[in-house]
Amino acid sequence: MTRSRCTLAMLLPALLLVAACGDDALTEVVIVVNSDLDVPFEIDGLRVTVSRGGDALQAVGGLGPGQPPFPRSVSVVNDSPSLGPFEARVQLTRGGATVVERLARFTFEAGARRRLDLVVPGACIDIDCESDETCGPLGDTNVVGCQDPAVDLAPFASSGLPLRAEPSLDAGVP
Amino acid sequence: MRRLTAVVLAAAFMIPELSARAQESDPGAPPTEAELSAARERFSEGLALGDAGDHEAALVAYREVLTVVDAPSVRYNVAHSLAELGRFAEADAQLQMLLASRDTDPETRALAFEQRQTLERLGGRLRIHVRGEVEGAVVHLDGWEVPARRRLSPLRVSAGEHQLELVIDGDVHARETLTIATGDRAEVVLRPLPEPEDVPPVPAEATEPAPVEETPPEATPRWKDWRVWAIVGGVAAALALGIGIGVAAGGGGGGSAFQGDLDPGVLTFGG
Repeated sequence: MTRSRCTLAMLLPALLLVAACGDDALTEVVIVVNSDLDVPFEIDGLRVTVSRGGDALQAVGGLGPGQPPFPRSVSVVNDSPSLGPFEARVQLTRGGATVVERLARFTFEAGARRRLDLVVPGACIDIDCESDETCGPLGDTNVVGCQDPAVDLAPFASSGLPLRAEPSLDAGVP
Repeated sequence: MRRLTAVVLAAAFMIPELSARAQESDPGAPPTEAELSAARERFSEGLALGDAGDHEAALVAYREVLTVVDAPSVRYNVAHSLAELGRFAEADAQLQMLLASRDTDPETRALAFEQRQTLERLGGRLRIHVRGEVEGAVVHLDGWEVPARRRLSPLRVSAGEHQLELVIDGDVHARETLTIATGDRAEVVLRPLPEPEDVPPVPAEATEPAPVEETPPEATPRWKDWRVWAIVGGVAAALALGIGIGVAAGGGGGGSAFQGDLDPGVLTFGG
């Protein structure tokens, strides 16, 4: 009896993991950042901060020689019960100081991978928007202006993205 | 470069929401019809002066109108005159204000954007650093006081010769003359005289209170914390065990996160 319990205790975490693996797909948003700014004259780095309430996570990257070119990407996986809204703040930097930024407010879709394209145009530099707005391209034009940061997510497509690895659970298994 | 006409301005005058009074006695009061009429007339004079090639006088006229009616069409023509005078950085500042304003109508917005592209095509860019940032120091570009925050990014400047001055408490502490060609990406460092020896050469951008380092230098990097690695190791072992059993049992399915190329490539909430 004791032996059985011990075995069960050992296997339980693994079984839970297996069950989790067989569960629904991840709730995920892939943020894709692009800009027309001159690298590295105008910018040499980027920072993506995703937050909800008091929780914030950040990813960073360098721009310039030896670094991947635009578009750059980061995946945001939501294992929390709340789907949102979340805020993504993209800051393009030079010497650590923010040159221009863009804000997006989005809501995850349960069990789905979605894509959020955030273009940060150079034309937005020094444009001060109200606190509840952000600068970005207006509609499908290349004209920029202040706008509501709420965005709709697009179906995920890896087009244009430099994939480091195809999404596969077995990719890391020896 | 295109200029908005009196027709557009007249339309702006007719829309009260677009009018904002810049009057010392009563800033909130809308302009009177007499003031509007005088402003229209002055605006027409500005157009005529611009047509005659006297952009300096046209600029004065437009700026006078701007004190009565801060309409996007008027501001656009201010930018137009500044651009014609080769004062690209000032013109650009006006255009940016237009683009940022929710009052800017789509036509003027598109023109402002087009004008900025013209400035970009005809001129160059200039990044200004101030060595040993001194409180109260201001930079003048061809006589225009460059707002400190605008020094964070390269300014658009016209092709040709430009004068830069570093002014502290009204005194010129440094002066530079430089020539910009179309398409140039120039940087200039202004050093106060005498140059302070004990001040490290910090570019102006670094004075911004925003985090300068991507990782706070005072904090212990997470990757050096043994507890992080203990957790990582434990999670990895459990994951490997689970995956192994899952694969052996013929299970699988589900998905893993897309791997981005930032660091980290995946951000997980609630994990």
